[in-house]
Amino acid sequence: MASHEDTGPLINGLLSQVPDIDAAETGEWIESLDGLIDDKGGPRARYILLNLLRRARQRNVAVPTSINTPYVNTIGVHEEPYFPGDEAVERRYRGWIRWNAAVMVTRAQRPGIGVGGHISSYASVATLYEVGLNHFFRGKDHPGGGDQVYFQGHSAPGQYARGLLEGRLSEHQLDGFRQELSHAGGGLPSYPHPRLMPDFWEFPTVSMGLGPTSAIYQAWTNKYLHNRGIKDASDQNVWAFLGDGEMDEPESRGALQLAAQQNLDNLTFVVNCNLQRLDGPVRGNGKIIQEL
Amino acid sequence: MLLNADKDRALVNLMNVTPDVDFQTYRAENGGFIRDNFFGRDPRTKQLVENMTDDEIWALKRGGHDYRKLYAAYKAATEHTGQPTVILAHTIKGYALGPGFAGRNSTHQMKKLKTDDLKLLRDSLHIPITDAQIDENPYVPPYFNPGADTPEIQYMLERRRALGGFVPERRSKYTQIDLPGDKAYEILAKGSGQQEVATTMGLVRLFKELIKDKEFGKRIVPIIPDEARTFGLDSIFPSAKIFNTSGQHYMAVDRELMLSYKESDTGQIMHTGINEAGSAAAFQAVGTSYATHGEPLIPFYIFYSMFGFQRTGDQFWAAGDQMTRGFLIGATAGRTTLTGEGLQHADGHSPLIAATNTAVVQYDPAYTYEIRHIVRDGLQRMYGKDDPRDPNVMYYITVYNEPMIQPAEPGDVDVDGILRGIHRIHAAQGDGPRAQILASGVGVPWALEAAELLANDWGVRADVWSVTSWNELRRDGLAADAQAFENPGAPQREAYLTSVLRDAPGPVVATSDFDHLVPDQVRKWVPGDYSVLGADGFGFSDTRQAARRHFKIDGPSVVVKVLQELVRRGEVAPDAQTQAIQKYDLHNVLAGTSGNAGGDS
Repeated sequence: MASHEDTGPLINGLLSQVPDIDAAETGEWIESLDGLIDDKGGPRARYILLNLLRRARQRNVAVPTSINTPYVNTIGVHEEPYFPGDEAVERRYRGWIRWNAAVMVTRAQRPGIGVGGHISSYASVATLYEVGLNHFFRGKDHPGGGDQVYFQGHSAPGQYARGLLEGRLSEHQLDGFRQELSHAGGGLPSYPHPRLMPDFWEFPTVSMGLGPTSAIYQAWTNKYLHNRGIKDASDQNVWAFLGDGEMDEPESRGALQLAAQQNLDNLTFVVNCNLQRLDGPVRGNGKIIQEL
Repeated sequence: MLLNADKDRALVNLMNVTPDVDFQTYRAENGGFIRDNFFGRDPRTKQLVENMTDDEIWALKRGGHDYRKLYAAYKAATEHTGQPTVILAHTIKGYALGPGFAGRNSTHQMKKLKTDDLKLLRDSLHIPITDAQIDENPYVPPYFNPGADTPEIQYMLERRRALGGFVPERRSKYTQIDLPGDKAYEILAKGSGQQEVATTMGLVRLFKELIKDKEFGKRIVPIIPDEARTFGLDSIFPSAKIFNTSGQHYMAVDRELMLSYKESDTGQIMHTGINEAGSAAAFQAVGTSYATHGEPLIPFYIFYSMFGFQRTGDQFWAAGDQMTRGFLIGATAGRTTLTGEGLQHADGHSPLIAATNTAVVQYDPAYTYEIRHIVRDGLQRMYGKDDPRDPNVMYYITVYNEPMIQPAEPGDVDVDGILRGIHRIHAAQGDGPRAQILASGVGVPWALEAAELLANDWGVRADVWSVTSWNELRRDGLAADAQAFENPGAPQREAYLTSVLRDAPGPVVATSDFDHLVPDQVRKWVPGDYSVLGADGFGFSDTRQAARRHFKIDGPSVVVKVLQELVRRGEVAPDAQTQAIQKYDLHNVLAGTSGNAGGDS
């Protein structure tokens, strides 16, 4: 059997069977590359190769694309825009929200009640929400009509805790977390359930996988309303906050083709990649972020 | 900063090859551990952090907890056009909750903070609460709410004001709409004359009338997962057109035909492809537009009944939670009606799954004139003015593909009965032993066949009832029972079904194209003897007549069941049941005669 050294390069993921019609010319190119690596080092060689790939694509030469980008932020530090908020203030009350969420869930475990709740999910997603709530998510009175935000079901305590500081909810209501019937004056539902809290929650998300699909079709419906002249929805965005474990549900990724084909630029998926699901790691031996 | 100093890209390489669990483990340990086990794996990266303390290493954040990185990502997402955006934010589960939580495998199940954890959390979040306040009652640690006058809360509220109000918030005020007048529904009143028409086609005809309504029509959203031709809906392709944000950039192969395939960026039809999961999600988004957008849209999601509730029941459950309004059309229903298609297609139980969703109102109409009242009442309930009923309902209507003569609506039609779940369509004449036959959907013609055989062959006089909703009759019965259970001594309401059958003489026998359990739902409220025939279990492919005989739900089977009951009561000759079995060759599937030829999709 021929070793890989004796055959052609990989083309479109397959070992090429095309014979080399000018081995000397190929050799010269490889020699140049060797020289570049030896003289200027690997990073410089990589930079030049990537530029060659880009040029090749511009000239309509089919070359394989790299599917994975490195495991670093896509937006480099030098590209970060001016942050218009007061980060110190925002961080301070984020701390208060997180404290109250933890207190609310802990109180729901008091003797004689013991109805539970999840503390850790909100802790991981708090910053993702807070940046959105301080700078991006539009409410119903926004001239554009407001955004649709799908909050991760298990992080509901965070929205209640913020509601307390905003003056929308009282401490008494927070003490009724997960005691919707027995708490005097009514309690708060475990998760986002519009039927149970119809002035507050807009989208039910806690059945894993349904939120992502629903968000895609919500974004499509926004385009539908707009294009058909029923409502101007051109300035409304759909934000879906999802768990990395949740992305294993086929419903989570299965409808992405519609989002892509229908050019749903009014949709943003934010996957909270804490690398954990209920029982353990999302991908122990692999890397879920790279997979996604 | 570290990445800028990483000239050889050794750090990037290290991050690229570190498995997820190692990152998780680092967060469950400390800065020294990260120095040794992460940066220490490559001399170049070890050097990068040699001037940092363990605490500084511990303070290196994942991007998902960094305000500026997130702001940059969100800003890019909102400004990007032409494509959706996905942001993958690396975070830590249990972030800053202390050593007992962060990154632990069991963190999801951790429901409360112990006193020490509370104190640690208080410290890391800088909450001005004393140890004594926490120790006072560790089960009820104090909230921290400095009030609306503090600068931080002022800032927070100002941000929300600037962005248009609180999120999340749900509103349910919507633009009032005028429903179509009675005229639109008249098309189904006259019956089909000598022409054989399936109830699926009848419903589609009504649908096309509604969509023509000048004001209301544009609010109807047909949702179809690639079976429009099966259901006869391809006829609206050219007029209503298929919604596609990109429009149509090709020449359709059938462009010369009247019924050619037309896509448009202003199309009305949501043609969702072979994708029930997506169709159900579309149904939910469209059917909640009245709240999400304040603009009512009425979804008509038409699917193979077997691939609706059985396949996407959880999405319908979520749709119920979100108070979705609209119509689910379970086309090609029944265990023996689509029987050419066989086991996986033969639906004998979707009404039962539908019954488990309290937001779903299920009807199994037999005739198109029943459908017109059901649809009109459904729209009235969802969007009519001054209707006292809960408007947040989804109608599930099962329709069939078996062509049959559709009778004209009788002058004295019992509309109230149709809507509540049962009305009499045949009153027996003459003397003789009496019986009552209940049937639904495509089973009603067999019930009429049975009444005729009973009269001609056995001198038995049977009334026939079309049960438009077993489910609603059961709910009414349960409500009556609950009232009696909770209010002893108060005046008691009789279940509607009980009151309807109170004076109907003879045994009651039920048949349908569904599982026994569907008609069995109402057993409690049938006065007197009640027997049920049903098509349980896996279907198969054969002719409709053979399948109905196999399950013993057809006309002659009903006759034998009625005679069995009358023998037991001593109202017919003792050998009548045996004689009937022989006469109709009951055990021979080739002897079945109930139904039309066909059974394809």
